Amino acid sequence: MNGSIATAPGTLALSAAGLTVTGPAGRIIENVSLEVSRGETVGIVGESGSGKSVTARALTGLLPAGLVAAGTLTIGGHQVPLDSGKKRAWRGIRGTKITLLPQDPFTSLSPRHHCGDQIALPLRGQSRAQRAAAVRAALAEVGLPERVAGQYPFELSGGMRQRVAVAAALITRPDVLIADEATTALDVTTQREVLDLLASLQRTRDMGLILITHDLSVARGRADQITVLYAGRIAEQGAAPAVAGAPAHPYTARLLDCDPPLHYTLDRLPVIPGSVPRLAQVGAACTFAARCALAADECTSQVPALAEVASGHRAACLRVADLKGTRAGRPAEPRTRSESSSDAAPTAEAGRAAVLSIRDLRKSFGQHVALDGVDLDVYAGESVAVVGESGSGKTTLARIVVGLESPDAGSVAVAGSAARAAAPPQIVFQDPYSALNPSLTIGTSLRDALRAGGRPRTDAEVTALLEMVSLPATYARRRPQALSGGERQRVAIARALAVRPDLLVCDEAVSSLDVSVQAQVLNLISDLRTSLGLSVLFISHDLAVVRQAAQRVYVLHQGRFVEQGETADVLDRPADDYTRLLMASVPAARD
Amino acid sequence: MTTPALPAGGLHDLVKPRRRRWLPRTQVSVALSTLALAFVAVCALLPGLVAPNSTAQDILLGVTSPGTAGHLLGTDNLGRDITLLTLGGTRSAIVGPLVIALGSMLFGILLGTPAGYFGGLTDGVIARWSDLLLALPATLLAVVVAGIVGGGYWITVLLLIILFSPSDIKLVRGAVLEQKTRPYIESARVLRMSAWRIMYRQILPNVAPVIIANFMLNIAYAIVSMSSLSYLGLGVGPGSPDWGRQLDDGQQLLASNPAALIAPGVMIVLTATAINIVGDWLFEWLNRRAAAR
Repeated sequence: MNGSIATAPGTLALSAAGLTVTGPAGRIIENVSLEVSRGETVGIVGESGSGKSVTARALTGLLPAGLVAAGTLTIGGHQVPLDSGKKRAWRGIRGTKITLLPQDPFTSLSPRHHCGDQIALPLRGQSRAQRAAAVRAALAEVGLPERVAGQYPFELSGGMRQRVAVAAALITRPDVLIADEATTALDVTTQREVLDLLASLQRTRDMGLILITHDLSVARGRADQITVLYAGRIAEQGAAPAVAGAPAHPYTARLLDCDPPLHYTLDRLPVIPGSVPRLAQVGAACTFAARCALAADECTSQVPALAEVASGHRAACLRVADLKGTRAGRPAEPRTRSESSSDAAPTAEAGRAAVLSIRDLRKSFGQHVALDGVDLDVYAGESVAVVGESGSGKTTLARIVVGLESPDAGSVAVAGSAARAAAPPQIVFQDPYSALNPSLTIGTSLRDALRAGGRPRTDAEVTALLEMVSLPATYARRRPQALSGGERQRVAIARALAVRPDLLVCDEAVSSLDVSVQAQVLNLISDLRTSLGLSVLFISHDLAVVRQAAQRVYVLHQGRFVEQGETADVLDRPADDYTRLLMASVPAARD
Repeated sequence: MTTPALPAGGLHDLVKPRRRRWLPRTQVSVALSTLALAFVAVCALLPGLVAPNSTAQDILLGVTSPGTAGHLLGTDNLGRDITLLTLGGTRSAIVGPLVIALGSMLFGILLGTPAGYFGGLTDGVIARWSDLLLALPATLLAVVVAGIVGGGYWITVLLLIILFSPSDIKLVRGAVLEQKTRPYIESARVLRMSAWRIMYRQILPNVAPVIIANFMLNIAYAIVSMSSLSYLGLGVGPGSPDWGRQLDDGQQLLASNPAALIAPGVMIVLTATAINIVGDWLFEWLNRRAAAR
């Protein structure tokens, strides 16, 4: 509208005050205030259930039917109604002043349209030639070749698709771009490229960027300001170095602790007990009180106000005064750095039996070579990781090990550690929401697994399995729908253990869990390894997880192992260029 | 259907998508349809109660128009009361279609599940068999079969089971294919559960809503198909009460007593519609229950 008037850098591009969204079941977010200036990156950090997606939708007037928003929202100097029903008022705002970059590049683009047409979609009333020129310019800006305009999304890699989505989001030159978990679905190297791209576009266009993420380290590395959301309320807000370096809210501090470090190994990962509550069920109390080690009586009787702890740094914690400067909510247990080599399993030389040995494994799907001659050993009681990006062949490897695919050539030998015959290796998949049969109760699922393992299908056995994964026996009567993601993943582990396998394959088993829950499950797997003498094969893209969970690591790249060895050796002194690239791509690598 | 890529506990948890519906929210239509079906069921199970002596003839009376004393809808040319005849025809109109829907559902489950689960040769054989059946012209086949073996009610039922089964097989096969790649099914395979247990214990409950809804729709289709064949004289034998038969007989009475034609026609339409509405509702309810669990 006033495109001719150049806005000075640093002016306010978006400001939301007292944003509250209410759904049929009660409040979802409450009193969220946010300011984004041009040229500034604001990170919104939160776990699932924190309300970060609802916030993104409220800011773009895209709330689903049934949700009602209150508060004030100003975008580019115009007050905008929060009511998503008022479509007319959003015209000329959404898509031109503010755009949303969706999470999943695999579903956000239409499979039936050329990328060029999708990028040009918001350009109305322009000639064909003008649109084509705009698309060319947009593609060049996101670093894609011109030919992409005539290609379909399925012809492109995930990173390229997300670049197309970026080009489409930015073609109208918005003042503010909201990236809602825009890099979560991407590999770590691609993630870095897209984040770099967003940062450079933001600089050249002097645009405000709201980076919504579950990953505090992404926000720390990329954002100027960070807002930490917890159960629909702001827990902490301030400059990125202050929030991530000297957190004033116990939740932020614990969240930082839960994030597994990349450069050293912990004996035990710190966890936050419990899970994120629903705001509607909390009432007049601190939402974090139930999980907070520092909670006092007053924490459960009033809503803590967002109070300034330092200039421009606010936290919603009643005990903030007591904790200021001490790094709030330090975990009770010390973060002991274990000497990574001391507890490493003895390798073949020590004469331990291999529970899995793979020799010269090959597998192709049509023209695509997934595995190109792979040798791998897992010894009894050992935990071994295979790291690689999507397309590296790591999932194919996992599926061959558990017998879901058959190899083209090579051998896979599974041996029992004890005298009894080897139970087939079991697998835990990535997505907890499809891990369990929705039409069976947990107890039935476990009984079926026990029967498959030729074991008695008694209640006692089911209870024992649930206890093994630290779930109460009453869960046997529940259905998967009543369980959280972390709990479902625990049941999936219990089901796998029902046949008493010697080897458990974890195919990205923790990568779709929240950071705090991820730590709980990793600790559980580590405990089971000790108590049951279980060997674990981790398939992962996450080097920090691998650092904590595995003693030895294999780096898989295009169907071949490019490097292997003790985890600490490989990650600290990577010998291969590809490993170095992976290490360098880890967002804001922790010390 | 693919799993949405939303983060755990995303918007989907918070709001159920609002469905635009053609029928009122209170589902008066479902209630009415259920009542209608209950009545039809009583007629079919206890014809003696609702329509005693439904085939009693009064040849002296002959055909009369509706409103004749003691005969609300009049009588046909044999002096049979149209009301009683129509109510009495319920049994043959309902029982056959029920058996047809059950039979083709059984075929669907027994052949569609292995076709979807095993794929490959099993699927190839079963799929070609279904294609072959689908290619047959149903009515023509019925006429030919009747010409060879002499027709009859249960022959027609058997024929329709075979003709209905390919669509059931394909439906179940598709639903099983979709389930087969789910992680919980792959986990069951990794646990080395037998194929039989995976198919019928792990997969079948998850595809049950589709199968049950299709069963209901099949009853409705079968009512119409059976009636059509009876109308062509291929279903029930002459003299026995049946809606399709009545349609045929009633044609000649169009001028003298149109009710003889209209009453069974209305019954066919109402019953088929009621079954469709209840079937739709059942499908939604089963799905909602599955989602809530």
